[in-house]
Amino acid sequence: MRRTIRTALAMIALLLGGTAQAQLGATLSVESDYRFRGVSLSDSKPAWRLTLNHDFVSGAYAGASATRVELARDDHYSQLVGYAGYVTRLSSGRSVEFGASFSHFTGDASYDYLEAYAGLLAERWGLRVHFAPDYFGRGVRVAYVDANAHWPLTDNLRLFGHAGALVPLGGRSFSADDRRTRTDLRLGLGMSAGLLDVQLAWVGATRGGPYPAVYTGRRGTWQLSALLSF
Amino acid sequence: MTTVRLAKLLAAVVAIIVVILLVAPAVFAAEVKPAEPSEIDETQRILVLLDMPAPHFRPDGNYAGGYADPAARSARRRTVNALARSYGLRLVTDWPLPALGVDCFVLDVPAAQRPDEVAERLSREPRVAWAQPMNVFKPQGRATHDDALFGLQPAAREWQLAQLHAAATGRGVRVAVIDSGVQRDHPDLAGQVALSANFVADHPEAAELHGTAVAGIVAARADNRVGIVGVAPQAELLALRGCWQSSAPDTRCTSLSLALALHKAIESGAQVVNLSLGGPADRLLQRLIESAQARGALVVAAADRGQPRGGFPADLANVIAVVDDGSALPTAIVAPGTDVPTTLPGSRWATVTGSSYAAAHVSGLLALVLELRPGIAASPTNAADVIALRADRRVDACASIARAAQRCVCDCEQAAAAGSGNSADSIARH
Repeated sequence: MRRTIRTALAMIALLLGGTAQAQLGATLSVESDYRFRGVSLSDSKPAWRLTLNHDFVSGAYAGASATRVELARDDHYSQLVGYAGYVTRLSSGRSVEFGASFSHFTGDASYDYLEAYAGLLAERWGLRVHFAPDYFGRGVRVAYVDANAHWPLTDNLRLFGHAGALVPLGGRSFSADDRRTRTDLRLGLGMSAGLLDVQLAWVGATRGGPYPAVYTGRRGTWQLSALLSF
Repeated sequence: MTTVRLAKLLAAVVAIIVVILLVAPAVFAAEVKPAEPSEIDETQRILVLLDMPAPHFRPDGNYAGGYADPAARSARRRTVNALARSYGLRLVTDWPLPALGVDCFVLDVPAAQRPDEVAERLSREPRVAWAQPMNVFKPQGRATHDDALFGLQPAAREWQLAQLHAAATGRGVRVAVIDSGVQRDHPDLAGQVALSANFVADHPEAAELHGTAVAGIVAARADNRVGIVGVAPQAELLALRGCWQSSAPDTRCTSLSLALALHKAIESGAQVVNLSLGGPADRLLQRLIESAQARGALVVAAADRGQPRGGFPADLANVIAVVDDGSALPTAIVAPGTDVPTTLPGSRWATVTGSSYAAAHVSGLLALVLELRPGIAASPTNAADVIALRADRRVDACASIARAAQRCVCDCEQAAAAGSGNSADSIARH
């Protein structure tokens, strides 16, 4: 893991230290609980994340992120996500995008999975549909539909909201629990100050749906996160 | 969350803040303390536009979307800081313009360099969408008298305003007046302004002559026993201050202040955008005007009779160019604009003259048309599609409203007796 971090930091130093590239960005974030689609992937413990993103003039984009996860008690892995997609603006000012992401878990590649997505986005809201043929390597096909929105209160303060539904579509290990659709919600307040963005949110999810581990944590919790951009 | 975990998280947040304090000076070094208004030479500034990627998927689920993406924004800031160092410029401020998909940076050019040349060189940089000088714009009108007036509005006579208002009053139509400051508590404007915003950072917000006069012609209150009647008294006025009164009656605007006001008009869903001003061709403003039109807004501009095609922005495609009735221009339509009584700061009324005020008349008339036919601006539009014109290119207000209402509007009894009128059929002959 340390080697991964060193490699990532070296990449940032190399890319940011040379000629400024217009659309390369990096963020480092910490959060009190890594909630992925409403459910903790860090056993309700604080987690950090490093993300790199590059936007090309053509509308193509690609990036990667690294996060510490704990899918079962004291079972620590690093989740590395690579993603690439294409976004184009419509004359209405909205955008449409499509792309794919691949999640790799160091230490247990059986969790690895691929996901494709398509979305319709505007300045203040976005709708996206994801499809994973083998969600977290559990042999279950799922669709995830989510809506995101934010509303500026002042120049630096905003309200934001997220609602999502994870819909099982079938698969080889399609248990009764896997068949249930799980919905999740995230509502909060965000504040940006220069390079720092701090968010306080309430996150919650219903029971059921396929997941990499039996989840015993609280369904809803407050989450504090801070994001530093480079 | 246990106390220990919370403590760890807070420690991490503090660590990030410390890092920020260490790296921030390098990032913000180019930001300068705003100069006093008297020191600012807008013509010695340039605008540098960097493409802003459209919002897209991020693997961190906490990202709420939108152009406020902090990583992308800091990337653009790094770029412009590098350019500023390379060209010896000073970064003043930046404004995201998501409606256009660009981030707009304002830079001071040293006195020894020409802003237009620097902008041209910067435009060739692969990292720059384009760069341009900060242009200065002026209104197309002047005040002529300072007398209180009653019942002398040209529109009341030539346009038969009272009869038009029996068909439409502009109810619920959003008209953006991009101009100098409007006196919102003027007796004839109180309650008429649905939204007010100031985009002239260096000049304190104030009630100013040109903006207040234009706003009154568009939407002054009706039946309040004082002053005048706006052409569209029930329109929702968006008073967007993109100009300032430098010294009465002189009014000035810049590329940046107008761009921010236009962007706000787009964001606010303005259906009519009134630009009673003119100046040099400006790529940023042209892009914003086209963006507003693509979203269904009708854009009205005062034409400069001294320019062959009315000057910018009146010469743009599908912008409705207007001159006052003391002028003539083949590409413009003619509306009342001579000795027009209207609202002025200080809760006064006086007469004004100029194409600025003719444009305000047309913006008000468009609000009436849009109340009756909301979808009229859905396709590319020119003046003749929306407004009925006489042979001499004067606006025929009665015919315009009759066409939108699909019925006779003015002097209908006399018209019926004579077997003609301003019905839709007869209007088709215009």
